[in-house]
Amino acid sequence: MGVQPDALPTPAPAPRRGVRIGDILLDGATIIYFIFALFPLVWMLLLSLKSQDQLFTTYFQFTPTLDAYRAVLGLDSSGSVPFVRFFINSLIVSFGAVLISLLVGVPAAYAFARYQFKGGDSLLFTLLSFRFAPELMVIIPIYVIYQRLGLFDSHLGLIWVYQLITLPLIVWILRSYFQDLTPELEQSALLDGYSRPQAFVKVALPLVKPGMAAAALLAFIFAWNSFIFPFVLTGSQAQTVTVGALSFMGGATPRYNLTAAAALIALIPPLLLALSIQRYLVRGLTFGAVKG
Amino acid sequence: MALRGVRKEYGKTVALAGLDLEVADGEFFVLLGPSGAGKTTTLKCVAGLETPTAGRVEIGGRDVTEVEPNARRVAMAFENYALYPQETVYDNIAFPLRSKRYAQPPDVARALITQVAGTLGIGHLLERMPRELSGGQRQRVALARVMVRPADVLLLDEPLSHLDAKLRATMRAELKSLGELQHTTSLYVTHDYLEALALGDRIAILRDGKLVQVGSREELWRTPVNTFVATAFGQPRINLLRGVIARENDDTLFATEDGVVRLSLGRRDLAPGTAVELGLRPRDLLLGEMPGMATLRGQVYVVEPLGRQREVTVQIGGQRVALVTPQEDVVPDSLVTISAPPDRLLLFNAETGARMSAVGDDVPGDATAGIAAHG
Amino acid sequence: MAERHRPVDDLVLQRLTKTFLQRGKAPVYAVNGIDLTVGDGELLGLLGPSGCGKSTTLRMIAGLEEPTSGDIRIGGRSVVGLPAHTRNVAVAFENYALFPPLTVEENITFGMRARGELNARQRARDVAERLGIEHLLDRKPGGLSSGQKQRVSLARAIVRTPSVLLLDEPLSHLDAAERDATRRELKRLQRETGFTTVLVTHDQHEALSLADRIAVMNDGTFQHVGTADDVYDRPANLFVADFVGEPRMNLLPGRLRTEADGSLVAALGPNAAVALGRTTGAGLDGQEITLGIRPQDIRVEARGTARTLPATVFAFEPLQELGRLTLNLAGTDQRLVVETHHDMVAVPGETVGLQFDLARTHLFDTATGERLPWESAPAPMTR
Repeated sequence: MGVQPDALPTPAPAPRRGVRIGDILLDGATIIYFIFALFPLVWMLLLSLKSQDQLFTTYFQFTPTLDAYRAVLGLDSSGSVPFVRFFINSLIVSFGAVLISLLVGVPAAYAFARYQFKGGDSLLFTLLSFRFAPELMVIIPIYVIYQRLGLFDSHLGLIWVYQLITLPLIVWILRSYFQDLTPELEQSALLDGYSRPQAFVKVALPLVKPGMAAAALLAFIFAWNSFIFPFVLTGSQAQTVTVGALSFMGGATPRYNLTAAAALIALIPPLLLALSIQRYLVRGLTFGAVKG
Repeated sequence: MALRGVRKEYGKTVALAGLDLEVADGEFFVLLGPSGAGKTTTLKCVAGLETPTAGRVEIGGRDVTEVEPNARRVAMAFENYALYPQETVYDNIAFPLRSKRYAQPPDVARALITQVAGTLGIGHLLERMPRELSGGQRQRVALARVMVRPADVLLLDEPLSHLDAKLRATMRAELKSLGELQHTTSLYVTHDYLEALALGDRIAILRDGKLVQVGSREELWRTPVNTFVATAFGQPRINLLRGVIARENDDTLFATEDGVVRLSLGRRDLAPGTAVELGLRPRDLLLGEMPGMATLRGQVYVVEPLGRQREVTVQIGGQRVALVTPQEDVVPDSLVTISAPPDRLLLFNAETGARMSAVGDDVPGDATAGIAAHG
Repeated sequence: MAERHRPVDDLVLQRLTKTFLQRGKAPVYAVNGIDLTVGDGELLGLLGPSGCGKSTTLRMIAGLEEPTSGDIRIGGRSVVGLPAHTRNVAVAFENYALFPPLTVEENITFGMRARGELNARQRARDVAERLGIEHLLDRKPGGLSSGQKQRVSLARAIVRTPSVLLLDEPLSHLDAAERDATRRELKRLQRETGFTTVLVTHDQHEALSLADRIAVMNDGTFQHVGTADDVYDRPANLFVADFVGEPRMNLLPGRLRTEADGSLVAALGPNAAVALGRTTGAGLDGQEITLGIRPQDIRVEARGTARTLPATVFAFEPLQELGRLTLNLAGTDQRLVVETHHDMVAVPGETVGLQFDLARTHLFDTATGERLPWESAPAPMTR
């Protein structure tokens, strides 16, 4: 299609139709996915707003009531399960587990990233393998040991066993963050008159803050959502929300509305945490430290 | 500052194979070599960031091999600048002055920083963050951090390598003009021979963890110990013409295998039949026949404009010789004569690459007069 | 190579434009209405910084990208809209684009075998011999040096005797020694084979060395099209003046004024003025200009005179083949570079006198960047 020079159109930015159709398709697909992904949540929300009577009779037409929430939070006597205590238990053990993992895991991750030492790789792999293994594999021996040590149904016991979940996560995530930091940053501090621990605290740590936030959040969510460990290793004292929410389903009449309300309440802490550290999650790491 | 037999191994790889080096007080010393030659490892041994497998590091006559880096009074500028991204330029430069060892009261620190930043022309950038700076500006900040604190030895690791060619030329001149750098004992690492020539009081050529030659720019240029050193300097690179030593009456000759080139080297004690390479620097060569000079004849292969000059490649038998000339009327395929000043010829053993003390040395009774054209 | 019997293969670009549309943003003119004629057998260097549009232009000629508007003609025939393989355009790509599982010979003959051509092997052998890679024909690309890969890629491009040969940054991945040798061979090869060639490069040295003519490109348009000498010695604007040449041209802002006797003076600072003499540049009085002069075209005199510009030594770099002197122009914050002999003695802080070669002094309109039509009067300073 040779165009004659004198017939050439001036270069005008004519938008193409093809682009628009593509955009519409993409938007449509996104919406469909959102409906698919969010439907269970919406269903849970509806369920939690139903009364016990309407629970099995209607889908969308019902009189919304907060009765289920009242029951779950123990504001009336119909709940029969100390959910508030479970909630506090969950907070204590999840935060405790993450805190200890950070205290141990950050220096460990730094060591794995910076130093070559004998058996380092095997140790690292062993740590990660805790995440591969199904929890069920170790739960029976731990149960027996905990019974003997008196750790059964205690906060400390849960925090301890949660290290199997949180520590590998934190070590693996932070190790790659530390690896991404050029060692010259700390070396430069060494030459500028700082000791090795100072270089770690003053230079390396501030730079992995976003990584620490991301790793801690992930670890918290995994700890919070853990079911098998608290299910087996706690009784009435240290039980957590995951187990507690389920206990509404036992008994003669399964009270799904209470379970739904409990689950939605249990969703709040991870959600709040995620929102509060969102800026760390998306921020770049060492942008500007080196060229480019 | 001195390195005595410094050796560094990483597992089975030998990064430094017994380095002996002395840098005089106040000297600006350049380490030049290709990547992987061990330049940065040398710097890190001096800084204390690496511990030598064997050998000693001395600063000011004191053995510091086992001394922690922060106790060595050594400052280092890293190749990637190593600026702290979350701190302002001011805080980056102030960082050494906030350590226990180099602590200064805030007002003294401020005065120091302002002065150094002024010298480097970054006074207006002090409140910026590193990511807001251009490559050249970051480079200056890294230098400022090095210059703001007292140091017995300055270590500079390829400070200009991340800059584009034109900015690099500008920054090179700026480094040259910084008296602070020029008067402090400095070890400067680079792979760019122009930086080495421009800045170095002395230059050491490093290859595979070994020193090849140490000397002034003049020595390295005029009397390179081998072809590695000879080819390390100059653009276009030095021509290396392969040939053998031949004898004709009392005369020692350089001859190419195809017999196209036969150059008299004068009376020389060189074994006939030795395979050699004749080094000719492109900018030493002249087009046309000049009296008293060694001459080569050949056919022009290509002519490349090079701004004000022409780079002419001449086919001489099976080999090619490049030269740079201001002459504009050189035509491809024409027959030309090349003249080489006899005192600029370099002769290397083709097998070992080592320079043979034949031509180019300032030996009494040098071949200058003896060289005649056989072409 | 064997003689080629073929029509005239000139390449013509007419108001060639390529815009990229991004949703919600103004369209980007990667190439903005360029006109160019590459003569039969000519090597044209397309020179510019990254992102200037040179690669897009190459891709449009090759047929890998369709122009938004404008025309591409090869041998008088418009090829816009034709699929790439029917254009008889060959590309040697920057990353060589060799097929790893095939031998060098199979790589070279790949296109010919696809078209079922007969004497593919013999022609591959001829081309390989010409490029000095005949001993590599049975090897796989994996084991070759980058210089060798580059030659294989070149052999594959020219073995089909294309009407237009496109070279995309052919030397950028070679080390310094290989680059020099390959560049010279490329130049020789192009001369002997006479393919109409477009060389895309960001390296001004490469463009000056290889090209018969250079098109300097920036922001999707041609800044200057001319021979190497033309681009180097008569740059059309500030961009070309700054981009071409290493060390870069000194560019000194100032203002023109006419003296009482009618001669023109470029005032660069309170006591830094360059007398341009009586010139044809009438009506330039008061014009804001940028004076351009290459480091080779300034002479340094130890003692300043009334006719020289005073400047203080900032730094001297003895580079063995030459010296590079950086100076501060007295009374200004202007810095300039002069090329000198390598063993000159220059003490930092010392004041010297500079004399500009007026025949090589360029004036540019500071506002537009365009070259001002100024010619020095005869009898400029001698060098």
